[in-house]
Amino acid sequence: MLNSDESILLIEDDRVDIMTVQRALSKNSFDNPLFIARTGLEALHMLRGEKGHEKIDPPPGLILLDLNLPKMSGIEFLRELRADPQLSEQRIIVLTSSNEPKDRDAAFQYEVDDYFVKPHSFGEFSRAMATILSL
Amino acid sequence: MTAPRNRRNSLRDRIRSGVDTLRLSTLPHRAESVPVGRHGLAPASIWWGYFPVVLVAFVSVLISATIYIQYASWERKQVELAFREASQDRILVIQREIASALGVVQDVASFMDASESVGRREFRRFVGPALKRQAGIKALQWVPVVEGAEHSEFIQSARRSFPPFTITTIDQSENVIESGERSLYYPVLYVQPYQENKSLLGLDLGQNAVLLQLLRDAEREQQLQVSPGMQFEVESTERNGIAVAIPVFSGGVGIDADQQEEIRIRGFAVGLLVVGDIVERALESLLSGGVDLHFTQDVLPEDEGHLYTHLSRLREGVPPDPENTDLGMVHRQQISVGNRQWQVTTHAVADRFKRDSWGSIVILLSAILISGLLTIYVATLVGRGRRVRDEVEERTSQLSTAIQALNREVGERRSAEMELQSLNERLEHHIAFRTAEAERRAQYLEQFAYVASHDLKAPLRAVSNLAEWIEEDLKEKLDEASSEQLALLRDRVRRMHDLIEGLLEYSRVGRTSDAEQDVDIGELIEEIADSLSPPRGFKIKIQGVMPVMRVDRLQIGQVFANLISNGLKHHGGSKGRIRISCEAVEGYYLFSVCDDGRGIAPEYHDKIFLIFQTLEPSDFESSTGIGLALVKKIVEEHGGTIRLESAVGEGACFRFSWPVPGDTEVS
Repeated sequence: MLNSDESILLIEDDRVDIMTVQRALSKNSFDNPLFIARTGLEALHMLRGEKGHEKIDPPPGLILLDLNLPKMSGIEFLRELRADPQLSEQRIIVLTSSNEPKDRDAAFQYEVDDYFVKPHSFGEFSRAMATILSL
Repeated sequence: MTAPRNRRNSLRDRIRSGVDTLRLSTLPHRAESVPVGRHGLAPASIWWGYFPVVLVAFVSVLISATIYIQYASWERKQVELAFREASQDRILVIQREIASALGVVQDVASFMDASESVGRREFRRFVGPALKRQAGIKALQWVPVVEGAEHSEFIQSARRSFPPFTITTIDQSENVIESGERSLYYPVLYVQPYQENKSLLGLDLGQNAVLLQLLRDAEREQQLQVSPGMQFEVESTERNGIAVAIPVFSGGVGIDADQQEEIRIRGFAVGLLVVGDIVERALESLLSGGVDLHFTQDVLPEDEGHLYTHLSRLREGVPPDPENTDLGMVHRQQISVGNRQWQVTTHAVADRFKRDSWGSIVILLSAILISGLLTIYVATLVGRGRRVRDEVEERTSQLSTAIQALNREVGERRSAEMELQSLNERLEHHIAFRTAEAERRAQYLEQFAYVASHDLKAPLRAVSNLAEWIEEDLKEKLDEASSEQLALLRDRVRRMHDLIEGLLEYSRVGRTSDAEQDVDIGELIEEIADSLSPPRGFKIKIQGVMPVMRVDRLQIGQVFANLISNGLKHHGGSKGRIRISCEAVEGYYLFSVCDDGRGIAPEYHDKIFLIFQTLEPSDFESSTGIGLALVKKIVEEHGGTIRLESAVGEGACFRFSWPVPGDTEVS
């Protein structure tokens, strides 16, 4: 269960997908602070407060991670994150359009908390988001 | 032989027709370099084969010649021996005869020695029988020694018994004349036989040099002396003879030792012997031997010493040919006649002592005949051996030819096999390469389909979301037409999503494989039937027993799900039944999924299995044309087949086979 004051870090490059998450959050009346990183590298910088990025402090209560990302893919981000002792305990949920067992296996190898395939319809997505945040 | 040849030919044809890289010229043609049969033998060895024959012939001829020579030599020796024996026999007989003749003279001497007063009559009586008994004695004489002083007294005394007696001599013209005065006379006082020797009576032998020497020798030696050869006239022919003189002494040792008297020569017993007569008489006792005998005195030159020649009676008067040496057989022997040595030379008469040449010729011919037969026999043996050897060689050569043919065939086959093997390998390599290539391409394709589908889905979802949000946000402001168009937009986006999803699944078949597990097919079908939630009026029924088999659960579930949903979707009626059955046939499970719908015309039976092919208008919802293609792909990936049995209005039956996994038992 995510506290209302805990922030969420969304790592997503697609604007529509970002809008989808924002819309789903607002539709489900979640007003937690939402940080957005467009690449895995940017997200790392934000989490560590380096390279001109303000550090997210306190650390986000949840990271929503897309896998198909430019520069640093989601799996690479996971590897970096789990290797960083400061950040290794982060709660992470994968949000991806890939239903491939390969991707799923790779994600679970880095102990993500859940793996969530983006549904085609927004309604489904919204309901799924509500479920995830209330867990 | 014919069957393999045919096979080889067919093999070769096959090779020639199928493989043009095979060069038969590379096959070993050893037969051409190997000598075959006896034609390959050097001619010298043929003649060497007859070496034993030549050897046997040579040796046997050698032996024959040796035997012949030995035999001839032995024969000649035999002949020579016979001749020598004959000669010796004759000489022995003649010696005996001579000794006998000399004995007669000795008898006369003894007779005269025994009495000093032997008268003419007494002499004749004594000598007469001896003369008859002994041939060859021309004359036996008593020759007293008369001193010149006693000459007259001696003549007077002699004339008492023979009045005309006088001492005579022979002058140079061979006339008998009265002897002159001499210191010593050696007159012949008695002579027998008288008639033939009248002229000798009274003859003073001392006036003949030869006889004088003889007498003196006899007196000196006081024993028998023999003169050299002399000529006697016997019955008007000159004959060779000898004179023998034996001295007779007076006085000497008498009965009383004290009556020692001076030893004084009284006279001589003299015999004249004709050598020829003695010899002939002696040989009378022997059969004719074919031996010529020459008697000579041991004085040189030989001609002068010639005494007598006896020609064999076999000659029948034909004198010996001086050119003919009569085989060269000569025997020489010394014999003693008194104080003299005679040389007796014998010659063989050719006819008598000829080798029996027939014997040796017969032996020679026999030996040659035996040699010839032996040679022929050996030649036959050798020939037979050669024939056997030739036959063996011929057989061997046939065998070696056969072996070579076999070897060649084996070689051809081996090379053909190797060629085939290399072809196979190339083919396999080719196939492997092609397979790998095909797999790579399929992988590329699947990868492409996957990536494309994936990347297509995201923007599609964005479009769908955006359309929804527009509809939501403008709900109040949109007119009906715009709302419907937005709905159509979302529907088409949805369909495209389904297509992409189907494509993803299709491409995933064979690429991903869950671990196989034991699946109860009956349970699986019931699960699927539940999840599909068939419309009211439709029933899904399992007929018969379903197997439990080790299989990829997801994939076989996909097959059943797609087939069942296909049946439901395209049934065409408001109620219906879908029956599922299974039977085991020869290592396969044969599943059937049958509906009782409107059926499918036969011309579409192939088409429905193609991807993106549907028999429905594209407006019909949720028909992507992937479901059956996916089923076909899954079935075929697992080694089975699928077919459709259907006609319009009679329902449709999909029947697919699935190999029975090795460790599953049909229940």
